[in-house]
Amino acid sequence: MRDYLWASPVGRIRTIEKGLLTRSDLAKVLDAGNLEGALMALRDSFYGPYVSKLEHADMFEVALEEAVKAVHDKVMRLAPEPLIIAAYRARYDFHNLKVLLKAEMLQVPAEEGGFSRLGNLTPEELMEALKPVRQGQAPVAPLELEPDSIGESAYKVTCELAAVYARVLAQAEIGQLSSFEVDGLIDKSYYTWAASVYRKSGYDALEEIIRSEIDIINLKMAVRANLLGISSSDFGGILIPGGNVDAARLAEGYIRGYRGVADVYKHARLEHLANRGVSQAQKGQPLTGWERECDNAMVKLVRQARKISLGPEPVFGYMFGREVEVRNLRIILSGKQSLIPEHEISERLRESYA
Amino acid sequence: MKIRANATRQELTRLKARIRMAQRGHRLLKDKRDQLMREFLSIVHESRKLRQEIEERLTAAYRSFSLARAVLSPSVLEEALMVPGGAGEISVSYRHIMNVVVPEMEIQRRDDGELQDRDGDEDKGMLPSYGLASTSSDLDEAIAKFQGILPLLVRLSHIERTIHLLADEIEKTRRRVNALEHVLIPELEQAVKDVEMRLEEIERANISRLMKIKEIVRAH
Repeated sequence: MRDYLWASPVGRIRTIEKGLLTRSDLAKVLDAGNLEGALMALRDSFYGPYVSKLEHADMFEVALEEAVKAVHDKVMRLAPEPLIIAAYRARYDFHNLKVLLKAEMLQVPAEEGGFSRLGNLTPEELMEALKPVRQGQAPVAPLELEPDSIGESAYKVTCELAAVYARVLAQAEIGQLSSFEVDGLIDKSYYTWAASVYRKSGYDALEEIIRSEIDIINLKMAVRANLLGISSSDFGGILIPGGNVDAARLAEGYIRGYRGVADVYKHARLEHLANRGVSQAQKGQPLTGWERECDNAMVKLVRQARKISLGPEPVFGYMFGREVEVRNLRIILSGKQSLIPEHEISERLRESYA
Repeated sequence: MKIRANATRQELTRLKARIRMAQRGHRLLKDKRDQLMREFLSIVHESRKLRQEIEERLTAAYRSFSLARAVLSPSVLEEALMVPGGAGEISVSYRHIMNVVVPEMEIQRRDDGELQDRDGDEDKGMLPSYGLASTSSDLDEAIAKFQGILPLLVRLSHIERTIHLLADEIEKTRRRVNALEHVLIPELEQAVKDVEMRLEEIERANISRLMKIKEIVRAH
């Protein structure tokens, strides 16, 4: 643990994070009469440079993606241990891996629209890095790798992606995996790897964040899988290990239905959330509000970690906070674009990190 | 066009038989037309109801999809929907309505697609074609709604095809009924009338000729 290294980045972040959108800033965007008005309301914020470049209001997704990418790049440059940030960003690389694998399954070229540009590697770099894996070789390492450099963290992510790619390819040859199983396998690989990175980093709060994220994802999946009638064996295959709640226990509970799932979370931190989700599902009510509560629980947890004065947590929190903010903006802007009533938009908005 | 007939008794009998046949055909075709109209109206009514239901459900499905799109980023949504949802097969059978062959279509989901039903394994349920970790319940809802609409769309397509086929047949039958009622039967009746008049004329000419011959014979 080298938290003293983070002193300067934390100082920078404390200044930058004042620019995070508050609840009232979001309310202003929400109050706009239409999509153009909502984008106008963002002109004086952090998103101003990205929004003003847009040729057409309907292209707001480009601005949001550019804004998140800028946040990631900035945080990566600030971070003395870039692997901590790279491990979070790697979720987008793993997403791109899903796109590649599905394209291979369908024997079609991967479509540009499915790729995310927010990962540590561009989709082109990822494709290039995975070429040797098809011949059973490891990805080509860059010539010089400085310890704790952005290049080294990107290489570590690449190696992990290559390993997962090889694993999935091996399984797909044997059993012809379905797209559901491919997604499940890659999600599981990502969270297991990220949890191990944070565990090894020695920063307890980060480890707790990822463990709680796994718990929340598993809980959300358990309720939705029950609702969709997914079998216990298929559900067991997508459960992510490494959370505070044992995945094997959850798999057992799942066999007993909704009540079994709620029982697994009894006396755990997420007991209340589990009971709410189960009762919503049993009543046949939409899970939208409950999913928002789950996301809010994550925001609260990361917000707690922000209080740590020295360490990667405030930096991580800022990056996470911007992503939550972008999610909220996407909900508002998409809602405006699709002419969804304001109250329906606002009941989907997540709690702000600011 | 006027029917040209020889003024003979045999022709008269033949014409009268044709009138009877035309009147019978006219009656039958009228019955067929009426029955087709009844079927047509009930199917149009069903189609209107179904179309309304589909429009309402499509609006709800697109609304759910818009909400799912709002919560998920475009790349996640694109990736989730990359692998096509369940492959389906449409089976087509035919039935007869008043001798009109109309199709009946039914969609059956194949086992290798989205929400595939894994037969033979009771423990295993249905699988979506995307992972659950990075998607939301809004997407499940939108997809379920779209999937619910598909059989209705197939049903609507065969109902609308039936409507077209029935409309064509009604039009054909209506023309035939009109042709019999306003053209053939009146013309045949006119022809019968003409032949009867000519026959009567011939009869009168024969009588006067016989009387003249009788007078000549008596004078000698």
